[in-house]
Amino acid sequence: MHAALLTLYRSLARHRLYAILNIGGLALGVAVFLVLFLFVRFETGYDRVLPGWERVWKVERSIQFPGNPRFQIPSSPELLAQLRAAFPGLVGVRMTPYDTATVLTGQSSATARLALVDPGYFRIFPSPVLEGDIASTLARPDGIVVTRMVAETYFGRASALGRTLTVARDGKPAVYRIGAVIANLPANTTYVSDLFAAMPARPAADEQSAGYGVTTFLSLPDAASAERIATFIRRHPDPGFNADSIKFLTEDITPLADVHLADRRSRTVVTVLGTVGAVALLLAMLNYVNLATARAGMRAREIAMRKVLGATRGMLVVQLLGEALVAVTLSALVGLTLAEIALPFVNAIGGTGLMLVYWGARSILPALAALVALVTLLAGFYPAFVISRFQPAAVLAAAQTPGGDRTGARVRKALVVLQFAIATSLMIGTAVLVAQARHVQNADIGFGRDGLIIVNGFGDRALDPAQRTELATAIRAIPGVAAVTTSGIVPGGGSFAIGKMHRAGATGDPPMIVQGTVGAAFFETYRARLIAGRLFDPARFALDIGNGEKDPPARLPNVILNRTAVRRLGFARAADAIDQVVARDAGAVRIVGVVDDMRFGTPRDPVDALAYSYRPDGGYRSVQVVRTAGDAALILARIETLWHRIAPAVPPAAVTVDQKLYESFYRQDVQRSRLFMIGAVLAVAIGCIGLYGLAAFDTARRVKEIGIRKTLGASTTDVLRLLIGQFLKPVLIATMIAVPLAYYAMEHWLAGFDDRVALSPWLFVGAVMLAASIAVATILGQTLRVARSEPARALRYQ
Amino acid sequence: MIHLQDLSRTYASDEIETTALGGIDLAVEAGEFVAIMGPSGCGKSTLLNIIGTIDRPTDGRYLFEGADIARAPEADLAKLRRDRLGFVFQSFNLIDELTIAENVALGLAYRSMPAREKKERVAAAMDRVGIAHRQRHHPHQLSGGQQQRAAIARAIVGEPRLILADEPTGNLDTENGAQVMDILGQLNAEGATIVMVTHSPSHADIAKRTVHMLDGRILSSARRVA
Ligand SMILES: Nc1ncnc2c1ncn2[C@@H]1O[C@H](COP(=O)(O)OP(=O)(O)OP(=O)(O)O)[C@@H](O)[C@H]1O
Ligand SMILES: [Mg+2]
Repeated sequence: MHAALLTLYRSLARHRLYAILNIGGLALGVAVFLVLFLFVRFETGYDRVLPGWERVWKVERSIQFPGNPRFQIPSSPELLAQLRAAFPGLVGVRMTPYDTATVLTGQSSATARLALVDPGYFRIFPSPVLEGDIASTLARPDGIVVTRMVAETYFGRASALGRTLTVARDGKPAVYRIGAVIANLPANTTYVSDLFAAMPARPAADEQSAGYGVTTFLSLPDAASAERIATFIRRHPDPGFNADSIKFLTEDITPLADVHLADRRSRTVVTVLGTVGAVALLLAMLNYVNLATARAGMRAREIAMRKVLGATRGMLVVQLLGEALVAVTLSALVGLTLAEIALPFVNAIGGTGLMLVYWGARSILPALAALVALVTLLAGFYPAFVISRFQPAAVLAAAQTPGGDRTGARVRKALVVLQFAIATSLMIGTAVLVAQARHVQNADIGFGRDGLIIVNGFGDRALDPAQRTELATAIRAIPGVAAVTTSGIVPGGGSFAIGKMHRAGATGDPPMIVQGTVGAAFFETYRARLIAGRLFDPARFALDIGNGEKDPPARLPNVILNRTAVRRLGFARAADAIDQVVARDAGAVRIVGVVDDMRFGTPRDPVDALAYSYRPDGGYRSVQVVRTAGDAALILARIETLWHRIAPAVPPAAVTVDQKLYESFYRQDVQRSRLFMIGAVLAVAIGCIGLYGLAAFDTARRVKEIGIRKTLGASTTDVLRLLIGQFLKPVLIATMIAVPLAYYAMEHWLAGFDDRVALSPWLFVGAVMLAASIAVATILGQTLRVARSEPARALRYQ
Repeated sequence: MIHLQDLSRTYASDEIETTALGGIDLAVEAGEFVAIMGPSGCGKSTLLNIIGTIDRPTDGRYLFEGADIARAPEADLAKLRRDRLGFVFQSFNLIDELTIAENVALGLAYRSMPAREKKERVAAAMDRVGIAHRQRHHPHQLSGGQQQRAAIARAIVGEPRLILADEPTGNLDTENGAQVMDILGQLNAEGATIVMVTHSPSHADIAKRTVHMLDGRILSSARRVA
């Protein structure tokens, strides 16, 4: 064994290029694989860190109106009590889906996540208690449990126990006493919060009216009881819903561990990134196989001599596999180092919190050992098989070293094709991802998104009317503010209602249409495009509001529809909708205008059908939106300064629309695309390493042949054409495999977007050209050297 | 046909400079059959390679049919080799991955002519040296003599005016060596100019002139008086 290692070391030292390419390429593959493996494990491991996660179920409630995306909605606060009545002994807890609260300290305010929970919450979601006692804390209405991070933020190193925090929820400050500090929640936890307080037995009256809801969790011993509960829930829909909506309501329970990846599209992302990692590793393994068999010829004499000296084929296979094991182990260690170095960078640009853990239950070492064993077998077996097959007599008798047999060459060529097909597909995929990311951030989404600022603080109920007026006036006066409006519905969410609308004489189910309220100058501030009719008009605001059908003479409220609503209502043209009266549960309205669709939601879903109504104050929980003419960042800062002066207890929560859209809808896609891109680029690099190595060995082996060809009159150009052509043929075949594959995959991915780029052929041409150029650049150096060399020198080459 | 004037070739490696050829003056007329002899390492192969333009002189003039090609561009030399020269080596230098027929065809690979004509010429060349029946084999499946005859076929398939042979019989037994010399003699009789390096005095006798070399210089040049 010692002697074998020595041979290996010497051979690696002698063939330094080979060693660097082989171990370096494999290490790179291992690094990419490890990082993406961590990502997949992180994503699929959501909530599984929780002790007893297998027994935790979440009550799911969603509603999907025809033609609209499915909304998740909270469950009724009474549900748990109803279930307990039906299933005595049932263990369950409720929490409010976390709410943004404000922690007030003497001078400043900061937002924090506050969850109101049942006293038993931490029995289902156990968390290490650093100090204090949870049960007694949650038994008091003013008790609060905080995470370590909160404790350190407000009290530093000192014990937080017994200290007080003033927390304003919906503008009502209350003093809480810290009764327990828990460890920070793991990063891959779905239900997180900074502060936990006891849920009041009865919600305040105004919260009830605002659709107060909770998330309900159940701890169920087995699948059978889960099935019983699910059946019960499906059979007893919430009576709080009216007969129209209850048809569209879905109630069920799902395992907690399935919640994070419930959306098919997030699962796709995880699968795709995992595949990229596996593919990078596969490419690296193919390199190993390729280089090892290409080098086989150079080792033929050694192997032949060993056979002459009595080694059996089995012994040789063991020796060669042993060498592979050493090389793979070395690569794995280098790869681990690379991954460790790369992780902070990956986390920064991918928005992840991945890390390598070496000891304990989540140690990477067993996985790494398994990987080494697998790669050794997969990558080492074929070369060992090929090399050990050399016939000693033939090898030793030959004047030249054999160049490997024809099947070997064919296998190598096939592997190069495979590598290049993968690399080209990844390149196309990257191009499409980049194009789509650009598209969603720059496309026309029906309104001028640049220079718009949303001041969400206006929707905070803590803001009193005097402050509101003062702020509104002050903001309007900031130089550079071009227009100001107020509305309930804003990009990224806001408040709105959804309900049926029917047109007289229409057949079939009336469409569900989102109904948003807007104040003066809404469309002008957004720069919406009017398609037909008119916008709400300051001269006719009284008309636009209407006076209800009952007070004669009836003046119906006016609405403006978006294009989708016009289509959903069945009007052939926008102009046909003007002056038409449509019925709603809340009374009939008259259509006075049609504007183009404004995409306030995710690029993944179609734009909602929307009817805008006019309200002088913008409507329920309306916020201000500011159109700036100057530097948006500067104006944002001035709004915040003003706000802290006028309403110090309320967070201004002002953001630019660009930020808001990015945070709500683009960020994840952009970050995941970056991960994909890194993986893809490295996979291509690995492919190039393989190509380079193969070109190096192939040209070295062909030096003599090139010399002969030149002696026979081939010019440098002839030789270049021959060598490059020989490499371009596999590239060409690979392209023919890659293009349809990538087209299909990217069409599938883009199908998850409503607002998507067209798959331009140029993306494909560009990516293929790039792949081919990289291939040529990779092999050009060596090829040129060989093609240029003096034939006499080449003929001396052995 | 060939005029070499004060031609020299030195090889510079890291430490030492080797003078392989120093001040060679040699003329070869069209139709000649010249044998070059001399001890190992005296520069015979170097001289032949320079004549064949697969190596370049460090100094001096090389006139090929009146044109100085010592410093001609590489592309011109490739063209010259393609159209005018044929090579035969001691170690055959056949390409293992190609069949015998493909190896022979390589002699025409860089010329433009109809594929059919190429095929006919290849067949004729193989016939001529008597290896037509082995055309589908690979070089390592042939004996040394057969391989050398294939190499000769490759050299003559382009009908070169000048054939350069570096110890063409060096790796062959007497009988095979004699066969190869026969073929070369015939080619010369048909008008080809031949320059051949050999260690065998009897083979040198077949040539019309023998050039003796020592330490990179020409000692004597004797024309055989028939
Ligand atoms: N590429 C090279 N680098 C350095 N030295 C070289 C090179 N090629 C030839 N030489 C040297 O030049 C001299 C002449 O070599 P050459 O091959 O011409 O000899 P030769 O007469 O053909 O010998 P032989 O009869 O053994 O074939 C030798 O000393 C040789 O070592
Ligand atoms: Mg020689």
